[in-house]
Amino acid sequence: VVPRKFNFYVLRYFSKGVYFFIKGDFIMLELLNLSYQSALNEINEANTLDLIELVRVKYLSKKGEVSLFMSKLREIDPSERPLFGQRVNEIKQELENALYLKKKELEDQELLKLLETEKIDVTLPGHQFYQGSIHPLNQVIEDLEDLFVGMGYEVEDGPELENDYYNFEMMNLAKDHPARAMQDSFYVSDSLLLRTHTSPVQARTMLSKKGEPLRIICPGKVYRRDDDDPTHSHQFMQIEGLVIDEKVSFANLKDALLKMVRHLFGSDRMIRLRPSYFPFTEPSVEVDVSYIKKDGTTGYIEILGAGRVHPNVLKMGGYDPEKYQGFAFGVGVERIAILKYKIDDIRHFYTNDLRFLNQFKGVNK
Amino acid sequence: MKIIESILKNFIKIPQNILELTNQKIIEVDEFKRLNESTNLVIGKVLTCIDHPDSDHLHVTTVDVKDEVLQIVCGAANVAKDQYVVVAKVGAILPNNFEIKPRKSRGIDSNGMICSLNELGFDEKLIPNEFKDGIYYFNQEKEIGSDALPHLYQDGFVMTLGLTPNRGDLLSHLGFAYDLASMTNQKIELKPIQIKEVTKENKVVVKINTLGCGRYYARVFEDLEIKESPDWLKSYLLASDIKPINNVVDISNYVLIEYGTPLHTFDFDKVDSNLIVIRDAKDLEEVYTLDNELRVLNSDDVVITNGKEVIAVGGVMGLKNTMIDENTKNVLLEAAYFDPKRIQKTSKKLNLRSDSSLRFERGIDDQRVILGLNRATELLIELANAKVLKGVSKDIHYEVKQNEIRVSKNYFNESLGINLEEKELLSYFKRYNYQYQVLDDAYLIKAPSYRNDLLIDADFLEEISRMYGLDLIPVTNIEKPLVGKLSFKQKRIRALRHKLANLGLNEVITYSLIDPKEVHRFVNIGKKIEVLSPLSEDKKALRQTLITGMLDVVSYNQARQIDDVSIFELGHVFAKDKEDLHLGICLSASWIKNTWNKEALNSSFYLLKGMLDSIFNPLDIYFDYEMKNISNSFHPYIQASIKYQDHVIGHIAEIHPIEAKRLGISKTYTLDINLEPLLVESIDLAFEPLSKYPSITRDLAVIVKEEIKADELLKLIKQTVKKNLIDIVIFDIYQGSHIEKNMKSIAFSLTFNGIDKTLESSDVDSMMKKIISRLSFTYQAIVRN
Repeated sequence: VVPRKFNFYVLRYFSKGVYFFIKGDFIMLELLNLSYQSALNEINEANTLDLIELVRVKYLSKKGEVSLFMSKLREIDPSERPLFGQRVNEIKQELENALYLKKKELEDQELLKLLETEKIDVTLPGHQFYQGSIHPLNQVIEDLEDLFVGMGYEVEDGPELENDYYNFEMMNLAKDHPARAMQDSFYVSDSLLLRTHTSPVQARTMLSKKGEPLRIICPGKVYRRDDDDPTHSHQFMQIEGLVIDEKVSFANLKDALLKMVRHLFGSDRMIRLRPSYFPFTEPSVEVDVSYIKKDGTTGYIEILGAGRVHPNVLKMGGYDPEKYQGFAFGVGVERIAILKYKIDDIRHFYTNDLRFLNQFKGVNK
Repeated sequence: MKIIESILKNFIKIPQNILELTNQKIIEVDEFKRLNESTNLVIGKVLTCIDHPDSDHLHVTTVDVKDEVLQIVCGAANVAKDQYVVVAKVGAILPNNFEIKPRKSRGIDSNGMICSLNELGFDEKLIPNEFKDGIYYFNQEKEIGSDALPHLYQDGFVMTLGLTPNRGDLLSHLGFAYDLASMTNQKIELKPIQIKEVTKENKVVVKINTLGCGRYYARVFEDLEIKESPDWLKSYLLASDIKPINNVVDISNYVLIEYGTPLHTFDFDKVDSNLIVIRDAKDLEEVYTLDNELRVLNSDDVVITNGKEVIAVGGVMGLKNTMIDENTKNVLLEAAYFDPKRIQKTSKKLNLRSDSSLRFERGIDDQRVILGLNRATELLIELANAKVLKGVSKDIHYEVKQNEIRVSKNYFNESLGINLEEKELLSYFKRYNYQYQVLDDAYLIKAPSYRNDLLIDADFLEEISRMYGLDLIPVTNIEKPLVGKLSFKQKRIRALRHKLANLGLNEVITYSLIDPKEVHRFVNIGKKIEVLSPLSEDKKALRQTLITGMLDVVSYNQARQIDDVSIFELGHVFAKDKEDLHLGICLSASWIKNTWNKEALNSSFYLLKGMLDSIFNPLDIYFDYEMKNISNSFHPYIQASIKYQDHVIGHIAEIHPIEAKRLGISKTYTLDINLEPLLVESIDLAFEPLSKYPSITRDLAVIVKEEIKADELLKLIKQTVKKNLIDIVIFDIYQGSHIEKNMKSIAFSLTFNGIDKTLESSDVDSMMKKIISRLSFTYQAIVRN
């Protein structure tokens, strides 16, 4: 229906070929409603965003059908104008709302279609953020460092290429000491060698403490002239402990050892001590840790050496053995890892097969 | 040292728990086993022996084993009626886990086995010729049904002690018996030795002229028969890993393991003198030892002479000129005490180590020397039919004195953390055969002559601790608190290690000793250090960079189809007067990846560099990278020095393709830096106020000559607008058709901010202008639109 202006009256088709003349204002209102109805229909029928836009332009743009009613205000009886204007605005609002809702509905549909194309297989693997690993030997060292720090120890380190004075002499192994034969070492000159134990760090620490009490552990690499085989390595790691204070007894040593063994292997473990010999300790003992054999009985396996610091070592370190006593212990880091993780060959630690190293990713976490 | 039950039981009653007791109170036991592992062996008498009807070599026997008569089929040619033989009954286990089962041999039941010595696991040397190819039978009557092993001198245990250098006293059965006696509260009573001397006198005169010899005894024997030793002697020597030779040599070896006193025998006719003089060797004195080697001596060595010429190097080896041979009839037997230090020097210098020298080096009991001489004399009479001349020649130059140690009364209890009553303690002293005195506040203790290792109070402490029981000492916490902590350096190293592992790198530990040829392949940080006695050529020199070993790890893994290798190592490197802690990283193939998605962060120079910067920049440590020709084994155009505070601390590079091919590895990037300067200073953090004002970002692209480094431009820009520039990133590098040849475009994104005011567009304009003018002045940069 095209609104046609008949000055004041307009002819309005009623039904079945019957026309009426109706007062202009009334006709205008009727026409507005008709526009509104057809707009609603068209919005309802529009099934693409483009069609929605066409509808919007047709009715609500500046020259749109509904908008044009505003420009016809002056053709209306002034008394009717506010009501008519209000109605136009209402219809505009409603149409805009309808357009918005329809548009949103279509947009949602369209987005869903788009999203459907992005469908994934959630079972495919994600990016490999590779977790690296800390070398098992260093894990053991860090674990023990933490334990001993908690027990009041400090951690000391020193050079691996060491003066034999610190490595041997200060550990009560004079040049002609028979025990030097026990330690076949890598000398690089008359007086320099790759340290055969981390004891020279103890020697250095004693000297630097100048007679003050000390409680230290010394982890690090050591070297001995052994051919590499499943149980020997010319390079290996050690942790040695040293405590010097007044009134330190052998019972205190047993306490430290038991705490270490239980921390490493479990609170049900026991230790067994056997007499042994080290030039730097007297008495010296070998320490075994208990384990449950396959048949259910208790067995013991050797794990470390320990003892009371030899008076000569104290003296050379600047301590009066009459006043100060001490104890020391030394444990092979590989030995701990081998027992803890049931590793069959010491060379694994130095071959660095990633399949080996990766097994230790989650340890101590 | 091997302790043989059959010898030990002559001195002491052996407790049931000998193994545990030895291991926990005396010394580590390396091995404990039966001398012969065979079980269920009895003496049997062959009653009948007939040929097997269906065999040309088998015999069917009946053997009486007391409880029953066994029918046994035997294949040995030498089996015969009335022999006393060794029978392995059904159920017996012979060496190598050979179990005896009832069986049928060509239709005839056989219940057991008549054994050859070979089947009993005997050492070839112990098998007399006549028994090499058949069964063994005894030459005399034996008790039927009794255990066969004692008759073969194969019964009892043999226990190998893991001897420590201090316990020289345990190098004999008697010495071990003394310690065992202390532990089990027994007393050792030595059986008197019976010696029948002939009337003819021993006229030898001994004279010691050196401090190297404390005492020297000699006896002379005539008309002795040199022959094979009896089975018992050979059996015990072999069990001690000593090869039987002849009765005279075997006897001195036997006395050595029995009493721990080394002896030496001279052919007395060759000595040709009644004078024995012990003196220091002369410098450059030359002798031929038993092994026919020429030895050059000096005054540290002790020699035995016949007054004119040297006849033995004291305590170490005899000489050829007086050695025993099959024609020897008359013998001079020496028993002496030599100074351990002198013997150590001589045996080390001459590289001659024997069971004798070992004992002299550790120090023998000088009071026991005469006992050893007499025991050998007894055996020589018994086993070599020797005539012993009357009297022992001797010179006692000095006695080894044991020190008297003063120990305060509370020493043992305080040191061990125990509460041992004095009465108990004194009983320990007695059991150890100490001489002691109880004073008001102390004890004076003196060890017996066979314990020359007990020199100071702590030595006695060890004795008390093991007798008390190491396992009975309580476990007591140290009550005094001390603060334990990691140092800054240790914490930083740990943080680095964890950071790198969390970045996805595997930590490796490689060998410090490498092939000398490889030491300077990548770097040269100083004079190479080599070990004097390497195990092998490839483990001879100390590394100067970690990457040598790490590349081997890359190679090892890639050879096993593990292609992605991202590893790091923290370790020391060495050069003359230099030892530093280094960090090494190697990246090969992918670092992070998603294979099916074909996405990956592959190793590259910039990946590695970015890794390093991202680790250290937060620690307020910034590096400069300078293109440099470091090594021919690096990619010629992808290698740089890493500088920190104007000092080169390492390098970063791609491995040269030729080198990579040699190592069998794919494209690999590597860096190695000295961590020492990076472990010195911790961050001294003072809070910086946060700007309340918005930032302004501007882009700037300039065209410069291609050799101009990005870093130079960055530095200049930063320097120009230091105050307001809070961030600058390079977001594009371009070279190509749109710009001139040999030029490149480099584009920066700069972010400005004012701490105290909002920056106006005009403020930033003027800063940009400044930047552009300095860039164009210094680098002839042209702004690109």
